[in-house]
Amino acid sequence: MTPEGSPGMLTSISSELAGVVEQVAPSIVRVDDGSRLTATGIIWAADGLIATTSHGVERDENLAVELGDGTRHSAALVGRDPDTDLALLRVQATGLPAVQPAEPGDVKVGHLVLALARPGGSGLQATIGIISARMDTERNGTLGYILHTDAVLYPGFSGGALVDMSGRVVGLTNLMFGRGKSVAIGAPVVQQVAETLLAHGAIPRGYLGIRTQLVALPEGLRKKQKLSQEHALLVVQVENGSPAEQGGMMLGDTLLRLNGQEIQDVDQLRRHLRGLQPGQTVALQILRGGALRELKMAAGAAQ
Amino acid sequence: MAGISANRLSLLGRETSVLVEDLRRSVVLVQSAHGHGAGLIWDSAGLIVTNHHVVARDQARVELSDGRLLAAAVVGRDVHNDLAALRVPALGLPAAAIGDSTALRVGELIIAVGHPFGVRGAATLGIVSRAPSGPDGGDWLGRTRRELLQADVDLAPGSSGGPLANAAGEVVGVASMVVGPGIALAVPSHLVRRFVAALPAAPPGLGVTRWERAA
Repeated sequence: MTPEGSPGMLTSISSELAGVVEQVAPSIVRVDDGSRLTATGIIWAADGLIATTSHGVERDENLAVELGDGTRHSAALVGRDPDTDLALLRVQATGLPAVQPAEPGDVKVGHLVLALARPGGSGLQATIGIISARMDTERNGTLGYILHTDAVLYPGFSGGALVDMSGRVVGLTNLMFGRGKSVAIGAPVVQQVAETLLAHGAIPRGYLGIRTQLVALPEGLRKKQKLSQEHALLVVQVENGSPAEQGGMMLGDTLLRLNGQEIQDVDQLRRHLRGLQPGQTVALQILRGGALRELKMAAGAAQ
Repeated sequence: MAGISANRLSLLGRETSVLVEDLRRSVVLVQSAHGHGAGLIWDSAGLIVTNHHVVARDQARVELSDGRLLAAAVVGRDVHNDLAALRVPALGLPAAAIGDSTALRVGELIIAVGHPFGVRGAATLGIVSRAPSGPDGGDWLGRTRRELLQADVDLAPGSSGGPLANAAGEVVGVASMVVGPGIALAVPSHLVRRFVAALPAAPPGLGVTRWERAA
C-alpha cells in the first residue's frame, strides 16, 4: 500500500482490528459462578489455568468455564488474592489457547488497546481505547504495573483481557478496582500472583462465625456517636465456639468497622475477611446498647 | 524513517475527515413536537429514516445539512425496531451508502454522526462491540428482545436516528439507544432495508400527501 492517496487505509485498519479480536477471542472465556451476570476469564496457561477477578467469582465451588467454542468445563478455584482482586481457576484440559503476555517495556501510555470479554451469553464483546496511565508497582520484589484505559468496560468485562495491537495481553480488566475508572491489572502482576497461588495453594479466607443483616443506622444514633456511615451489619447469629464467640461478640451487636474500615454491607465484610490470614487479630468496632465498643479476636480459617 | 509513521497517521486523519464530511451530508436534523433527533437520507428522492421515538407525531420538520428546512410527513413506522420513515418534498438529495450489517465483525471501526445535546453533525469513533447476531438484546433491555448492533461510540440524546457507518463510510446501523457512556445500541442496516422495502412506493407529486401507516 502506498502512503500517497492510500485509499482504504481506514478499511484496512478496521479489518486488522477485527483480526486482532478474532486472534485473541479463543483465549477469552466465560466464568460461570451461578450468579446472574457472569464474569470473564483469560486462559493464562495451556494446561488449564484461567485468570479472572476475585470479585467476579462469588463462590468457591460449583464453578464452570465456558470456552469460546462453547465447550464447558467444571473449574476448581486455585486461590484468590484480595490485594490485586485476582482469582485463579483450573480446568481439566490441556492444549488450551493461552494468551501471550506483552513485554512490560512495550506497554506505554498512548498505545491503542482493545478490551475483550464474554459477558452473559451473547458471545465475545470488544471496546477500544488507549492506555491512559501506567502505575508501576512492586510486590515482594517483583515489578509490575496497573493500567488505566479509556476503553469502556461493560458490565461483565471484569476478568477480560486488555490487548495491544499485536494481540498480546497487557492486563486483566477490572471494573471494581478503579472505582468507576477502567483499570487493568498488568500482565506481570497476574503472572506473579498466579505463581504464588500455584505454589502456596488457595489463600484461606478469614472466618469469624457470624451471620449478619444489613440495617440502616438511626439518624439520632449517628449524630450522638458521630458516625458518618449510614448502614451497618446487625449480628443475627454467632456460631458456637467460633472466633466471634470467643472474642466476646453477642447476638444483637451491630458491626460498624473491621480493622478501622467501615462495613456498610455484607460484600464489604466478605471482602475484608478474604484479606485476612487465619490467626490474624481483627479489631471490630460494634454498637451494643447504643454504645460504641471495641472487640478483638483472632480470625479462623474458612472451611 | 521516523517521519513515515506520522505521515501515515495524518493520512489516516484526513481519510477519516473525508468520510465524516460525506456522511454528514446525508444526516439531517429532525424536529418534532418532542424535541429533536437525527435522521438519515435513505434515497435521493426524499426518503429519510429516523427513530420512531424521535417523531412522536406524524408531522415533523427536517433540516438538511445545507440548511434547507423542509416539512416532512411520516410515511411508515416500525415500533418494535424503533424505526420511522419520513418523506420530504425534495429531489437530488445526498443519499447515504448502505452497508451490510450481517457481515460486521467485532472490532471493526464504527463512525457515528448525530446531534448529541444539539451539537450539529458531531462525529464519534469506536468499534463494533457486539455483532448483531440474532434477537438478543435482552442483556440490556430486559423486556424487549430486539436484534441490535452494539458499539462503543459515545452517543447522547440528539444522536438518535443518526447513522453508524463502517470504515468504508457505509451505513450499518441507525442509532437507537444510549445505555451509558460508550454503550450505544443501533438498529442494524439489514433491518432498516427490510423496513424501507415494505414502505408504499413514492408518490409522483412529492411531499404534501399524507401517507397511511405501512402495515
